[in-house]
Amino acid sequence: MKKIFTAFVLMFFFVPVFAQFGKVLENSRVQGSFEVDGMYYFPDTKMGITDSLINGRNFAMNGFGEIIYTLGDFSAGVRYEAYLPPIAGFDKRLEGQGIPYMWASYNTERFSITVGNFYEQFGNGLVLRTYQEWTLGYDNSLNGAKVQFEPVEGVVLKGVYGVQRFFWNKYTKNSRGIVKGLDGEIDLNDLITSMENSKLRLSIGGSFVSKYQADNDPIFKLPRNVGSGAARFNLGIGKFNFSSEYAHKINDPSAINGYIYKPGDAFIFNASYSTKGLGILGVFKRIDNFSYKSDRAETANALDINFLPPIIEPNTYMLSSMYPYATQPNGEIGFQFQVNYKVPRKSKLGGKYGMDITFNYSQLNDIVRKPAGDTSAINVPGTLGYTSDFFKFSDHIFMRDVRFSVHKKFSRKFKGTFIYLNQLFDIATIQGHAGAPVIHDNIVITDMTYKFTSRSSLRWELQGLFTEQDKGDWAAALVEYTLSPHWFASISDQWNYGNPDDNDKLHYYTVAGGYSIKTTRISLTYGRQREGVVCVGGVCRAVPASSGFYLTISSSF
Amino acid sequence: MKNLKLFIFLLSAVFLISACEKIDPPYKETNEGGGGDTTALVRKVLLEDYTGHQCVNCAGAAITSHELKELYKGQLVLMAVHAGPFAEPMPNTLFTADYRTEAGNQWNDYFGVQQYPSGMVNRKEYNGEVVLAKDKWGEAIASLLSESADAKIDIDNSYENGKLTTGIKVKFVHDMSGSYMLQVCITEDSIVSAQKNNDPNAGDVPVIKDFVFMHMLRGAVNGVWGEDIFNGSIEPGKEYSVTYQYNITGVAKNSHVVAFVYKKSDKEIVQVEEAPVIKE
Repeated sequence: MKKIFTAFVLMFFFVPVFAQFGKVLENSRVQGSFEVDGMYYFPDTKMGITDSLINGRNFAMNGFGEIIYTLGDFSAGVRYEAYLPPIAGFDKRLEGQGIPYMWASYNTERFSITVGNFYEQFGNGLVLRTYQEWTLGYDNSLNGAKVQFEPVEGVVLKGVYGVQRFFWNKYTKNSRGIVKGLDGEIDLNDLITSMENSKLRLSIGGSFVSKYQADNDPIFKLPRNVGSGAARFNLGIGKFNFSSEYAHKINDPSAINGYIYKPGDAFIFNASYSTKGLGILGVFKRIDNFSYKSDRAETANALDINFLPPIIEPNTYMLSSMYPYATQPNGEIGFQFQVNYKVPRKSKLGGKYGMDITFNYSQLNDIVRKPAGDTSAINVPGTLGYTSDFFKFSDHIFMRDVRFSVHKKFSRKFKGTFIYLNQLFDIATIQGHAGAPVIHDNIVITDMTYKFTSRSSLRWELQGLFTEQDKGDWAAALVEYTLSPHWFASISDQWNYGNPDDNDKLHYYTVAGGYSIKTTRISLTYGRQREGVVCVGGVCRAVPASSGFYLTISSSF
Repeated sequence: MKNLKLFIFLLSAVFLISACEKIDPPYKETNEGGGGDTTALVRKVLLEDYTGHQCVNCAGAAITSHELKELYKGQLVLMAVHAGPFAEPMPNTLFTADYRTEAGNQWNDYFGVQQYPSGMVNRKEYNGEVVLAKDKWGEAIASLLSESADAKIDIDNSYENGKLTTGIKVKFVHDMSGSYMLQVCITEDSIVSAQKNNDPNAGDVPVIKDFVFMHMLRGAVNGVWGEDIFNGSIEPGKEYSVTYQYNITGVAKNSHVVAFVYKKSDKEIVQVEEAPVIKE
């Protein structure tokens, strides 16, 4: 009788709890993604990769798993990462495993708060952008709190406060800076009812960010609080669009700028015109002493508070990515001009399917520097450093990239892309190869695809890079067969036939295959990876030469 | 609630606006750093500068270490360790010299130095890192100099016909415990050869053809990791003496003996001493 009574009481209390729990489960949503990149290295004496260089570390692995849980207005997530050891070319300080990223967030229509790790961007990122780029091994997330508030329709205020991720190093007192920031943006079309349907679309915004880092340096007097502010607008008038952002930073002596005390400036201006079949884009950008890190002694790709957007078009083809541009935070001035034109269908040039033509010209120079007055030389540590006229271009060109591309569909089954690039690349400045001559190169690329059936297709690339500098001429070819929706196989080779040293006229061949099902993808590559540099958004990492198997498994749910 | 949120943002704004600090010239500290009087027993600090003649930023780091030496004088001992890819010789160029040493190579691998220039200050962790960027050397040194010395090292050198005889005496002055090692090395000044460089303030760009290398590690007298000297509980006044003989291959009048005592467990250096091979 006692047992029956106990069971009755338990049921009385717990059935509603179970019912409530069931309701919670019903309203919960879990999503996530995983990726594992593994490398098995072989010695390759022709590439200078010996057993002693590998030193027993034949295996390398980068991997992550991310899970996000959502229940109504509440969400939370964690990301596990492992670099055991990191794949060659990734910062060795990544070696380790654990959970570097976890957060919880509460979001309502007008208000949201996040605690833990988070990413955020103010405007173009000139004063604050935290983000993760897996291919670079880059993560400058903030760990702290983020608040977003929309007091009225069309006005968004944001505040952030925290410390940045630095590989696996936990924050301890004075180990790196503390970042705080505030951003506001007003969309006048949303705020003012009479402008709701206006052809003129205008938004304005402003940001302020400050970092605190203790000054324990025995040589320099260092500012503990370094503030930076930015103002921006975005104006759309019919088919025209203009946007701009200007940022200013007070004295921020650091390892990057050589401990000079000059304030920094950054400016970017975009103008575009877009109509059916035609798009025109013009960009002007100027960076002057605008590295902004939460540890002034850091020189590697870590602890950047801000982001300086690139204006050189990114390259994805094997040879066109040979000389990628890395943003020069100490100073650069340049512009980009791009025209996209679609030759109409059924015209003489466009043929049955039309044709896409793109022309792009990008150039970045050094800024002009003059002695600041407190010294006869420029960039002397412990001085103002220099002065600089805002719109003056130095004769020193960092990079010029002129490209012309045509994308043409010849028939229902056959299409192709043809690209010509002419580049000037100052490898001494951009990659630190002191004394190396400026590279002038011409690159031609053809990328053709033939569809056999709706499921199977063959794609092939032929590429050539021609230069008298650096490693000389290259040729490359790729053939890829795809059997949709699951299989692909490819074979490629990059041949440095023009290398001045006969021993280095090497073939960098790869054979790859892969299988996809729904959101899961597995690929295996065998071959040689040439030494080079990988850049995403002007942020770069060096990639050493390697030889072996490369396995990637990724999935999301 | 709405007013509270607005208040929080306004408070933040006021706080942020006050978060700027403009420094007025002179931008350099005017303190003398101390370190002048080393007749009394003081803690001395070893700065190891991991460098290479093909490293374009390393000439600037040598200037930094020199400035720190000027500041802390005898309380700071410098050692430039040529190791890693930028220290490799390159045939048929200005960089044919091989300044690497067995000890330097092994230390470089053990401590995982991967960027050059990098350095270690007493091989002790500072803000979570043992291997430090050059601009952290100064504050790491400053953080150690105020500590009292744990040990005293005396070096007594004699030199004849290329052969050095160095007598090392270590005396602990505090109650201590654990295992301690003694490492004895040779450094050499004023070696002139080419150094790559991208810093106009450090010299010619892209190559300083007649760069003067200072404090260069030339070899380890008693092996790559030295030898055990104490184990277990150590009472104040406990002494260890040893004498080594070593063939000097460089210029003896420019060479120094650097001796340091470190913990076997984490390699942290507790005391260092330096003396010229030929007595002044």
